[in-house]
Amino acid sequence: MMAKNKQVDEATGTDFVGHEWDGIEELDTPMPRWWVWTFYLTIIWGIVYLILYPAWPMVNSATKGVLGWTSRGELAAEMSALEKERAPILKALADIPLKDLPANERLMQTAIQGGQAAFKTHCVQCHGSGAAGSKGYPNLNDDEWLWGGDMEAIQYSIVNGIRNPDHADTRFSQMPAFGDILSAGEIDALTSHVLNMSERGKLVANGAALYEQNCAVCHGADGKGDRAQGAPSLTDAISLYGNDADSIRHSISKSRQGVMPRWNDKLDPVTIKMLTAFVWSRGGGEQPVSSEADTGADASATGAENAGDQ
Amino acid sequence: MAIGAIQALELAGRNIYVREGCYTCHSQQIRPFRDEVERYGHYSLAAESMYDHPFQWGSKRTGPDLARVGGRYSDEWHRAHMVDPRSVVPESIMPPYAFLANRELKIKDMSSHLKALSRVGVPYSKEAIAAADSDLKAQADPDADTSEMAKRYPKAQFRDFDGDPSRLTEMDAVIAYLQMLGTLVDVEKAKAQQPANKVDAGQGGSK
Repeated sequence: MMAKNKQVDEATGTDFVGHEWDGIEELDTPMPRWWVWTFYLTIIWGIVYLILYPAWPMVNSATKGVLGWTSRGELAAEMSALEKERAPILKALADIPLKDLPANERLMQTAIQGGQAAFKTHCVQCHGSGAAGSKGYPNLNDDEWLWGGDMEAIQYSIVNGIRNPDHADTRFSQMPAFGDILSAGEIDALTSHVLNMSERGKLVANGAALYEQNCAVCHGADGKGDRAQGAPSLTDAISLYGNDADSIRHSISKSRQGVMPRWNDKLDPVTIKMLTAFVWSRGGGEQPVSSEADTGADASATGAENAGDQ
Repeated sequence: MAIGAIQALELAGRNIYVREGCYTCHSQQIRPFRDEVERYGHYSLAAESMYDHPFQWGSKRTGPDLARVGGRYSDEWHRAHMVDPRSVVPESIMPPYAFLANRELKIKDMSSHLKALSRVGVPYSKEAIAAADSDLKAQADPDADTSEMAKRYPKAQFRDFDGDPSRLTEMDAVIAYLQMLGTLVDVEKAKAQQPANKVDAGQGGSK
């Protein structure tokens, strides 16, 4: 400030800047010290950051920074720490044969918890957040199983899926669309017959004969179904696609081909094992019928070995 | 790691995806964070969207990320979910897109579309460009001979997607596109620490 114009405001003791507009003058109030020092600190912090972390964009990549930090590296470190922490329990789960898992209470509980977490991520979209399913997507809480409900069967279904396109080991069966084979009257008769099997609807004359010719080979003469083929029981009130007359008529004439993806290309074996334990523990889990049950090796014996929930 | 160009039908589905503004609620970019990687799978790599014009990374997730949704659900699930999202996910807030199943897929000169993309570096061969229209129809036609096409698109999936083989609808195209997402990349071959631009460099060489 030049001495010629040097004026001091009496009230505050601060210099005037020297401008005046219609008698209004401006004071040259200094910045607060705390603000100025904070500002200098941010500059210093900025320089340190530029040196330590990736910062300056270059032609092909940014400068690397002396710490060599990357977001991917941080993720890798976090995941490997997690892996280390989980390793003992995951190893124990990987080593234990599936049939011995339920007997080992501590491991079983761990598997169920882990399975529940994985279920919420990968399965709830179809099977529902409470595993109760919806039309076309089976309820996993009950003891009605299309492909078998023991641990091996459930695991096989998760690993290989149901009618998964382009996968040789997937569970597969195909009910014909009887709309192309039978007349409308015959389908009506079959519908009545199927309703009658779960003790609803009235008996019709040719229903039993039509059933015997067209349906019994898969669904069984008694209508109890066949798990080796994923053919559902027709004698109970549980039905994947609805058990009113219209739904049954639609199923007979158009057929239903539910699809479940296989998960062996997306999830690791331990996660699948934990999912198996979770689904098995929901209430409908069955004991293996034969003790040497090997994954899907013997389709004919009981069906349960080669089966799982659709 | 090799990422090929997407097929004509998937491209048509992609155009519908853009038309309907799916990107305003769904991202296609899995970030390198533990919570995302555990939910959606391996984080996205730059090479995965290098042939996207424009890219569909999105900036907001009202719905889940779709970068690796391919193969996670059945075609029938996608159809039911698109027609009435609440029928399969009761807590969903997604609007229904039932009309897609009723609209015939209109094909406006797919060859020119592929040709334009090839000009900006998408590796469509001459044969692929010439056969674009028939390839598009063949992918969703269970009776079509797809042996030639399978050579052009090694990871292609061929089937009727919308549950109605007699018609080619917009639903076919969108489901074909969704079932392709994330299936063209082999993430195992890209190590976690490999810089994104290095992955790019390997791909960019073909330009």
